[in-house]
Amino acid sequence: MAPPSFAIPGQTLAASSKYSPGPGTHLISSQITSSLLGPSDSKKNTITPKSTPILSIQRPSNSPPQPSVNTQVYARITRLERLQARCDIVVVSDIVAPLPLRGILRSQDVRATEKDKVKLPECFVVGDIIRAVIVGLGDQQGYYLSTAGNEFGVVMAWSEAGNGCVPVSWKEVRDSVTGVKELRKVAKPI
Amino acid sequence: MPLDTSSYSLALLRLDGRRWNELRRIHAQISTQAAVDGSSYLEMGNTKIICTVTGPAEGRRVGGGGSGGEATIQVEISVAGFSGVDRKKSGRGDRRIFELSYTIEQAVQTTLHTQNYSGSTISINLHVLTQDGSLLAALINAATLALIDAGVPMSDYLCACTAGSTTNTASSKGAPRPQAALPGLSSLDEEADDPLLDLNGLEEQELPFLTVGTLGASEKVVVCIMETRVQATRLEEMLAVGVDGCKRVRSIMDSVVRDHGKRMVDEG
Repeated sequence: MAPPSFAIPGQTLAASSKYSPGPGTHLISSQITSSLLGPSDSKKNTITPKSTPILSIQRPSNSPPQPSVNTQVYARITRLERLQARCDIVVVSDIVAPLPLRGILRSQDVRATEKDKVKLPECFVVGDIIRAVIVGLGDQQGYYLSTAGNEFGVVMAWSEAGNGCVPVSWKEVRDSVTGVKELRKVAKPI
Repeated sequence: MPLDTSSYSLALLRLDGRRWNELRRIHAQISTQAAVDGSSYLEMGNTKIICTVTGPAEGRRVGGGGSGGEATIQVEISVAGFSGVDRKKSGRGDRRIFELSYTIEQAVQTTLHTQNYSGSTISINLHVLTQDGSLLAALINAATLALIDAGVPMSDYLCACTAGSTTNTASSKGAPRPQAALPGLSSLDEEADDPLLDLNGLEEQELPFLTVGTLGASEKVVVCIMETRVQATRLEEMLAVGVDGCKRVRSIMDSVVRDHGKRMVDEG
């Protein structure tokens, strides 16, 4: 008997003689039973190929993408403090997060060189969109981000007048209407 | 036009027009809030509950006493001031609320696979919007749905409902009949002392009742709470009716979960 394609908690899936219990399942009197709500999936056992296939229940992937270390993210700067900038992570590895995740960009993570001379107001302005990489999962406060590296930094910026800006160098952007230059840690266009 | 309830007692119907073994309408929704890991909204008749679940997450240890390789479950119940008939200030240290949350905590602990999440905390927040009987049962059912939504592994559903008994033992001994204020009930007890399923708020005030919670399709009783006095001989059939009611609650919750699951698969 093939296991059902979709399982709810407490549903008996298969006998343990035909499958091995995987993630999201448990055994009740030699019956593999689902402990989660989601589609079932059977895979070949790669460690001991001769044993029965592993039956597991996966949560559908509409749950928000979880950033991990070295994941590239896009974030919007929400607050500048003396030693760190707070931001909302809106895109995690090219998937739009359903809810913004909080992130923290510390001043020593802004660029790779002259770390101690970074002045945050000369690198970011509240509202800028930055491309960054996750360097630490942090705590309740949020993920730790870094913009060290040429390809990381501000990708979208708006001038004091409210117009969109274009990059002119690695540390300057220019208002596309008035031509006034402002300081930013600019990401290398890719 | 007000409903004519004068013939209810003749037909052995209850105050709200149900038969002795009928449940009230149960309406449930899963994933009602996006900001938490799991959430649900449940109506059992006029009892309405919102439940949110966060976790398993890293818990803030209070007092440092670790529970040794198992997740801690925190249950918090907030009863809205407008939920009852008369407006009440919800006392923080209300003993009744504390007992409810303790019961839910213990019940949930038995069904969840907490050993997979040592050192983490699963917090269940329950908000009572309106209460009209079967409060504990509704809280348990709402918590189960929210935990399913949160994806916390569990052995099976935990579903609960209440069962009461229309005792006429008091009247046969010449004691004052407590049901006399309710015409629908007073005529009932002349017939027999019938068990009742899923009591509403009015019936709960007058009749002895118990809340029973079972695990899944099995008849394994996980929760059984009774706060009123009842003759011991009545208990068995009350429990039987309650367990039977739990099965029906389960089939309703089952369809809700299946619908939600289908939607989850279709969307993601």
